[in-house]
Amino acid sequence: MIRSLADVPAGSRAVVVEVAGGRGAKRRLLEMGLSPGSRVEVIVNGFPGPVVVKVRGVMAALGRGLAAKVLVKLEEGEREAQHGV
Amino acid sequence: MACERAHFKGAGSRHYRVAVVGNPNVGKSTLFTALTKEIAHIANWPGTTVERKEGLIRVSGKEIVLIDLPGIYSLSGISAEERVARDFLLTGQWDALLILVDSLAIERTLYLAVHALELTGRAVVALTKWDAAHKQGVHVSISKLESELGIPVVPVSAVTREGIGELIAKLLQVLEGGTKRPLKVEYGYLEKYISELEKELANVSLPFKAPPRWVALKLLEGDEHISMLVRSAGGEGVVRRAGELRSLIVQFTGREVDELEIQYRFNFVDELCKAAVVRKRVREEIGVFERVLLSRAGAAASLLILLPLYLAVFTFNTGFPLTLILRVVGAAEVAELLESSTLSGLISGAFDGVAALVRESSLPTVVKSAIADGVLQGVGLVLTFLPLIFTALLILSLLEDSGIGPYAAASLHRFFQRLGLSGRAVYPLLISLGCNVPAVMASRTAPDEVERRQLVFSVPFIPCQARLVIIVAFVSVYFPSPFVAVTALLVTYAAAFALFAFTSTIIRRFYGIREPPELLIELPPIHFPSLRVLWWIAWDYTKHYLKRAGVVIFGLSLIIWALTSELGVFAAAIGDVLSPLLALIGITGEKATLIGFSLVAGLAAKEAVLLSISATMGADPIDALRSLQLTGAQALSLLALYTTYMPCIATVGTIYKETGSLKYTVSATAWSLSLSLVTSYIVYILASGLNL
Ligand SMILES: Nc1nc2c(ncn2[C@@H]2O[C@H](COP(=O)(O)OP(=O)(O)OP(=O)(O)O)[C@@H](O)[C@H]2O)c(=O)[nH]1
Repeated sequence: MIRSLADVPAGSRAVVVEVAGGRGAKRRLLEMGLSPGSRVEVIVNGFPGPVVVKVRGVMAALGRGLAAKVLVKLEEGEREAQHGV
Repeated sequence: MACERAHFKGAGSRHYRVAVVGNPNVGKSTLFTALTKEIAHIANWPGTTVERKEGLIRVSGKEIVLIDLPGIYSLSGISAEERVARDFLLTGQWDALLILVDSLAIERTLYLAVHALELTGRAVVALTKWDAAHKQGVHVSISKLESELGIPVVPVSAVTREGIGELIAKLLQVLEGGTKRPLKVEYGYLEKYISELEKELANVSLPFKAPPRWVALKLLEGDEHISMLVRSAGGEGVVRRAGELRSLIVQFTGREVDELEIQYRFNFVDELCKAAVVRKRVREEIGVFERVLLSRAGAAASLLILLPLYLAVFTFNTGFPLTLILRVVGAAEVAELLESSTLSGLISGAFDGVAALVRESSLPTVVKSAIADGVLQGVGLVLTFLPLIFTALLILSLLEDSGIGPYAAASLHRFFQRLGLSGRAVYPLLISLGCNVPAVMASRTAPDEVERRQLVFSVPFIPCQARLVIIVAFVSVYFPSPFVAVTALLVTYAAAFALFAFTSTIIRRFYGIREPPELLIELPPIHFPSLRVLWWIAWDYTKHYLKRAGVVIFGLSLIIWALTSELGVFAAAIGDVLSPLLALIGITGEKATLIGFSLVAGLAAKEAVLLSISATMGADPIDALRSLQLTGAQALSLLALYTTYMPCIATVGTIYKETGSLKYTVSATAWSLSLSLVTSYIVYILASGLNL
């Protein structure tokens, strides 16, 4: 299932599918390593704080607005069920 | 190939130029300092506040000049830093590149390296932070990387100095060697379009130095700057064709060319890493400390760390705010003792001592005044800021280098976003409450050029401790009842803060940006920083303050002395110049002259405002202030004026140092002055309306 990075619970892994948003923001995200196919691990995700991810060996904090622009697919066996409530 | 022509030029001489390229946080400043004991040249990149450093390496009778390019993620030219770096690379005024790759984050930092290697093969890659790589379970096959990239790769550590000698040797080899082909990345689907444009480019003589394949890709992705340059060189046809091909690609793939390009390049990086890097997961969980800083309580936790640190810095340097607390509880003597034994107190005490000796000497009066009140005051003024700058910036680098800074910035971002600033603005804001001079310098932590300018313009509105003294004096004389006094104090700070926020927003708008900055920040693991590095950085800043800001501050303080010296012809006239403005708030005659004079005197240092009033009235500052017999409305209006009217000359000098531009310095000063005048007038009208 595809969802935005902002909706991925902490502790889950996902693969980037697409990055939406304006040209500048998109490029920035892509070049930080959040390009389609990259694996991300969500470390912290608590509203209204930032979403903290680990991608390509680097930990980074994204504002919720930016995180919403990154569409990801949860990896198999990740907490899909738990989150479905 | 166009790019290689420039390289021959350097090959014969013994003076080589090497540009240093790397991501932010890759360890560039640290390595730069480890490589070059001598900073040869420091300035700003033209038209920016981005600093340009050059360092010199002397090796076997040859000189290598290292040119420090700003830390960037790519060469796409989105930010000012990227434009600076890219534009410089395109000038071809370098003989080789030193490209830094973070051994702790190879999968990400190799991206920029690959991007740069597509521009030239005359390069050496340094794998930084090598001392930490093994500890973190990172193993790299250097020979594999070298053969795939086609250039020397040297693991280095600025901390243990491992690899530093070899890096310089390899660099020299490349510099003295022949030309080398740039790296070729496979762009899959884009390849046929790239080669078509590449062929067409053969007929265009490019006004910059880059391989045609590189230019072709830039044209295909629609890079405006490169397109413009190619068009101006008679390549309209190629640019038009690139546009057609781009629409074609978007139609077929549903993706922008730059998206595809970035992905292909990352694919290349991934393949490379698969072959050359083994990462054993040592620790994937983040620490408790990091977790707290990122939690809901993160903002509070960050302030809990930052506040005491900066309070300590200021107490150590000037006694503030401890002295204020002591005075409030009635221990004025202890406060004075403390003040005179702080660093600033000791320095100004020493200068006062020397000045007193000069005054007692048998020199002619004018000379005595010039030396004691002009030269010594000026030098003293410059020097009293030194320990403050050094310690404030030491703490700043401590926070940044330990990794705490980025976490604090992330957790505070939400609040600053509303002011059009990022979480990093917390440093300049906090520091400015003590002193605007190091605060203006701290604006360098801003994530981009626009925010840097927002801060440089707006930070001087925050009342520093010297202005707090004025505020307290005004309030205690004119609004003595405790409740009113506290309210007046808070309102003044709130108003100053509002001016700060207003200015910051206006400047952002001025650069055509409407959206607040989005948070996107790297979070390095928190670690104990290298003390040597902290020392280097803080000392570097202090030295450059002394060199560049010091001269300006000294010069300005001489001018202020010439204007305000009771011996000079200006002293009487200077107050009158400002009288018409003061008449607006109903202050006329002798009082206006006196206040006008104090405003000019206050430019040297804000605390001089009170001193000048009391010197003229021959009473202690509080009595002098009382005998001005202002109405409530006038007092409030003057309070607003004194609090915000203009950055003191030390701040002006520092703004000049940081922006490197007279235009910015003058406009920041003029902006502050006009906004302050308008505000004071509005305050007067409002307060009069309220019958204060
Ligand atoms: N273990 C280790 N850490 C290092 C080394 N060099 C730098 N670091 C750390 O890496 C971080 C970044 O170093 P800087 O030199 O400030 O990096 P920079 O590339 O100049 O970063 P910006 O100033 O953000 O552009 C700091 O926390 C350093 O302490 C090294 O050789 N070994």
